[in-house]
Amino acid sequence: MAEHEDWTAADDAVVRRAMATLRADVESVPLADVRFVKARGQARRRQRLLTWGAAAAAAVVVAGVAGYAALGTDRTPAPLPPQSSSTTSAAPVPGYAALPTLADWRTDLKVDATTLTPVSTPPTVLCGVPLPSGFVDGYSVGADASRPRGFALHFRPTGATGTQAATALAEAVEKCRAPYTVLPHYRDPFGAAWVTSDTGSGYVGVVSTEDAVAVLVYTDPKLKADPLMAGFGDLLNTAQSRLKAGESSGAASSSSLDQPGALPLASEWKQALGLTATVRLTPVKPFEAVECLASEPGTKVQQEQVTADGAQFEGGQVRFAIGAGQDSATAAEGITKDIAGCVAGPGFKVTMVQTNGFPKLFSYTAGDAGSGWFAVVVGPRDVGVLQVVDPSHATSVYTEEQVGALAKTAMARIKQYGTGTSGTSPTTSAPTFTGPKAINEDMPVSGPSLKPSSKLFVAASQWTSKALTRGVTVTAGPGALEGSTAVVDCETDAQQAAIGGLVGVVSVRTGAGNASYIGKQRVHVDQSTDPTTQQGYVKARLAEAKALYAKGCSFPTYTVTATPGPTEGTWRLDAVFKDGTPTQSQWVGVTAQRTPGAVSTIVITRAADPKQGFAELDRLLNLARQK
Amino acid sequence: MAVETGAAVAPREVGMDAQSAEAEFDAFYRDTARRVVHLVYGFTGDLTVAQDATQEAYARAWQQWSRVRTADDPLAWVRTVARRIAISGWRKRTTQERAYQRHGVHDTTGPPSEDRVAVVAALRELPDPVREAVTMHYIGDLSIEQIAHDTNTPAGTIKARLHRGRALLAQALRHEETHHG
Repeated sequence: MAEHEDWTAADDAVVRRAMATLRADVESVPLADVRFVKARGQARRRQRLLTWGAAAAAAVVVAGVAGYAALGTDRTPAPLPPQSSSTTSAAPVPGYAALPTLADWRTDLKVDATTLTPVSTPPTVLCGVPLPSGFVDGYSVGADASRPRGFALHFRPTGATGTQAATALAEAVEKCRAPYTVLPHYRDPFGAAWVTSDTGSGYVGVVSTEDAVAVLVYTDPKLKADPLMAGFGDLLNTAQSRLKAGESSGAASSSSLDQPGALPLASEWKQALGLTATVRLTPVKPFEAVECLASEPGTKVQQEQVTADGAQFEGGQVRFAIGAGQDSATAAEGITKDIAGCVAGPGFKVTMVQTNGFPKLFSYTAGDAGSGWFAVVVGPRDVGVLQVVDPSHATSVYTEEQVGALAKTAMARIKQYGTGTSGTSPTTSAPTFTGPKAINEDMPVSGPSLKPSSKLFVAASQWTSKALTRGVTVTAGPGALEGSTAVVDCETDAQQAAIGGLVGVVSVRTGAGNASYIGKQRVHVDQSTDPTTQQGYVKARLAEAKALYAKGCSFPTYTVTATPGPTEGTWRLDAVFKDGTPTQSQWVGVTAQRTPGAVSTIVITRAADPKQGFAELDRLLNLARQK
Repeated sequence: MAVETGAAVAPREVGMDAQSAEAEFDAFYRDTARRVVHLVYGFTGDLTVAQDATQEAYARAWQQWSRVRTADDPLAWVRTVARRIAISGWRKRTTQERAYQRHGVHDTTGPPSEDRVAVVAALRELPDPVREAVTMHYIGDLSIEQIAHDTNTPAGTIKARLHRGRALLAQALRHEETHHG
């Protein structure tokens, strides 16, 4: 997109008009109640890594409940719970190891609860969807058995993970509107939900682990007009802690170590730290500096950012290959000194927690920036550093035991799969390719701030051919449509914006001007580490392409018709103009790449020999597949 | 982990009772919050994210109200914090968008209008610093000098970004109008 030097008042009016449409959107939704905003400030201090990611937390909106009926489709409030056993005890009922105790309810909610009554038959429906199978136990809670105010149910779902079941519940709760007033902004970002209603105020909360789900509900007319959920959030924290207690923690099992990787996998981060949100490892490319390291002990060969969807958690891991003739333990000691003496900002203080041998552990506090941990691990020819960042707590919620377990996993992996080990050999057969071998070139990749590496793109020089450019050398340019990831007719930015994952575009040209561009390659990369998810992502992109390109599209001044190519996933798109302008052809193809989760779209916008358009496209796609 | 329990409490105020502090903060929030939502919405193109970032910024302001209220411009403080929160979120937006799609969060704010889709799409084409300058100027009604101060960027740079951004935006929006009549 070229720069405009001819700025006019009309342009100004266009922009102001556009911005006004956003203002209308803002004013069409209610402003969150100031009481909730203030409560949120307090809640931040106690936030924990509950089951919900940001999105799920946003989705768990809010259903006030006075009974199961409110959770289901029946609009008539019913007693709570629907069916309890005949045994009622004024004393805490034994058992319920995975649920809050009576004392927890009294302490956290400050309610006058004196009775837990076992639930013998749980409800089957929550907001119109089935509750998970695998009911373990549950109880109602209240001042006496005849007037229950809340309840807790514990499930160990079969056929789905706890997290999956909880996500389904979250979606159901989000749609659960009646008979209570749903106020989307009155939600605790960390798993609780609140609403007012004619029958009082209520809470719904769902927490989960990999294996289990707990549903907690509490309603009380006295809570009317009280949006503060700090107490209920604490109760959810307790519930999740109790669920987690049933799961093993610690170093990775031998079975997970069967999966290659010189640093912990996402599942291992999740298990060791007790994270319940989806954990993602995102490669950091190009490599970035590592906090607190004054110098790097070797060649950086692996660096990943660790995130948990929606959770206030960040992490990272990096691995350095130590040069021949150097001792990795000595190099690791150097890193240890760097970290021990690190002052990364005001109030930054590091404490060495585990000093004997490796792994070494350091906790740190960083003033307003929260707290965290470092772990230094060492292998025969590698040194690794892991960092756990807890941005919201002055003292990390992650324990030495948890971080130590993660570090032990890292030690096991770096020894088994680190540099020079047999484990670094590919364990799966790589696809074989015929024809020219793809090479790498450093090229500008345009797109959003997080972009795929240029190594995933066909080298610009390999676009050069007699049929495509008459032998004129091709180079990569900044792109004629700066900022747009749509590369071909029939695509729009809005359609592209709906596609997740990393995305980048490399534009290639035969000269220096904007008129010399001959084609583009766009690469989408799924950021998950789960092979099934990656395959699903790639299939979705291929299906989209087929649906989008095969049917062509129309614009006010021209129509685009599609002609399938001889190879699956290729088309020629002909733009036929209504004013008699000569038809313009583009050749577009889409293919999965060797990198898991990567998909390429290649478009040739100008070919020296149009008859060779499809052949050239196939040649470029073959190069892309190798990456 | 030690957790706090109970309801939210007003921050301790020096020379100001808690009730006055609450009333002052409440008024500040009522008077200014929509402007901040609007600003962040323009920057992120996501109303839900904008609402959350704004709430978070005001929540942080309340936590340290005794300090924020005495700042030269409390609104500038909140605006900056909200913007930073949003920028952080914006960097993770691909993951977030997928999650939102998965969970259908946008349903809570109603379907986007065609106009909004076009504007958001046009804004997304702008590089982050350019979009920041455009939204602060056109939505936040901030002068070049104020933007320069808030972003710690030379005024000349802001001026250039603004010029470039509005030209790109106008071009994109005119293109959109042309395509859709």
